[in-house]
Amino acid sequence: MDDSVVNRAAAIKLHNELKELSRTTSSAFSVGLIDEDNLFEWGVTMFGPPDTAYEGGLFKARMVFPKNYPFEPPTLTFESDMWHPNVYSDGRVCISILHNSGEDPHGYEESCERWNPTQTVETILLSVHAMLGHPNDESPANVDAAKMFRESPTDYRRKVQRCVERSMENF
Amino acid sequence: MDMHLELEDPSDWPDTLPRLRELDQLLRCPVCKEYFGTAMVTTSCGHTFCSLCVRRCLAQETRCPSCRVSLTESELHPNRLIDSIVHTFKNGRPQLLDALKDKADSAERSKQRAALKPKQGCVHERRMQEMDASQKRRRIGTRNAGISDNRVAHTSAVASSPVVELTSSDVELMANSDDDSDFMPDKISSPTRTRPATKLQSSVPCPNCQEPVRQARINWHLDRCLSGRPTRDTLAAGALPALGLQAAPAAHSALPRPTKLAYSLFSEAKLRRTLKDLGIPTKGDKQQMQARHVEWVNLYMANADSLTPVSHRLLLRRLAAWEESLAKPPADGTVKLAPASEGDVAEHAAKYADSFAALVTLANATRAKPTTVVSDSASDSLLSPP
Repeated sequence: MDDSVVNRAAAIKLHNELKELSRTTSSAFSVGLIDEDNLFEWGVTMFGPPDTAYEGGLFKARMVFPKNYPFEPPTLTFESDMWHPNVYSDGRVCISILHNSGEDPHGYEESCERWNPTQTVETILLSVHAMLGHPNDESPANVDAAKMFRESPTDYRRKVQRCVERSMENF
Repeated sequence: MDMHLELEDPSDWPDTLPRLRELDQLLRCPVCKEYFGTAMVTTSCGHTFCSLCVRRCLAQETRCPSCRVSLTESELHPNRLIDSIVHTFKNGRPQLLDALKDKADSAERSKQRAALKPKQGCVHERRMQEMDASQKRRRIGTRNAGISDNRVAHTSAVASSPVVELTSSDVELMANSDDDSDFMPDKISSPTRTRPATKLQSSVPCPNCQEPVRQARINWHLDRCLSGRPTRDTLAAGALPALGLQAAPAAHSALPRPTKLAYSLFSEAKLRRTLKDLGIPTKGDKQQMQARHVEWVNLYMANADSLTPVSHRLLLRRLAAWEESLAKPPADGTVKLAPASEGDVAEHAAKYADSFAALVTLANATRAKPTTVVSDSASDSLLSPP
């Protein structure tokens, strides 16, 4: 790596987290490096939570870490098609744990829900996994999905199931 | 990239020893996942972090990174015992892992031998086995000797000066510069790998206590040794925890001590002047200078917490490296959570013009009838930004 102090600390933390996650198996997700030489970009496969519309889905996502991780949160972007109130149409996930620490300028999120440097990849992915089954339609990233989720649950379910099918085809 | 990292992490311990793995995990800072470097305990909630990690966290948010109770820097206190435990554990780690590996190897060998037993009738084969075993024994013997040699080398290194926590990146930082004039030589020789072996060999035994002392420091050592005052050498060698009682060596202040500033009260010119007085780079706009000042205060304070502070010069290089690491362009494919652009907002407004109009009518209707102020929270929240 290079000679930078923070960068190296970030790489060590990421290395440790990756080692730890590959040692254990999770029923919610699996992770790996996209490029063996770059610890700052991870590929994630999220398993659709059981007993939800997302059940059976194998959703691919990309996690990108900032150079000063863990002092700033990573970003998580779904690469599989995703229909969810808290996922932007381009796949970016909008969840409070991925928002920088401090108070929310809009006043929607408690400071205690937001990112802090002791959070890990595991806590993020578990939060996102839980979010799939329990969308927060109070503060949606995809307004259309939120509206559909609220007003016509059957259509919402059908649309999500199409995403699930596509995610399995492309796997 | 991986090659340059210390590949030490809790998963080095075999699955059969979950307690050791747990201990390894517990001796790591929850923020950086490395072994604690100058551990600080919070007096309000009792959590422990590296000094630099917790100071960086507090610069962003004045809450404990673990439990989020309100926390300020005045509530941080050094936890010297943790430093000593980490130091001991880190030093013992390779030996312990080696010993575990040897044990596993010998178990493997005895299993192999048991498998060979039925063939014992053949004298020739048995002799071969015996030879093989004695060769292995000899090999183990040399390996053990190697370990003890290492240990001796290490103890003498510790004996010659207190431990300075230098990261390997620091070693690079030092290697990159040839001007190390203000660098206290006795402070950096402790990790054997940082300096060529010849440096260590230049030590001479003290005529009074027979301790190996570096030639350059022999007069200083002798003065203290003869007058019965404790020399730092014996303190470090004998009782590392006792270091906790020793006052931290004053950070040789060639530069003034920085304090936190209320940046909003500083004009760009005034901040630049302050940075200049502190002896840190003054380039960039106000925001960059502010970020640099914050990091400088963190580095300075964490260095002051340390029992073995590094020189200002190295601290300045760490500051430069920190800045450089952030200036690097993000990796390919980085997705920035950029705020919605003007175009998006306009598009959004056009798309939902009907909904907005409906909501406005609804709001006006409820305002007209103050008795039913219960607003339709469902439609309200659709207006909220994500």
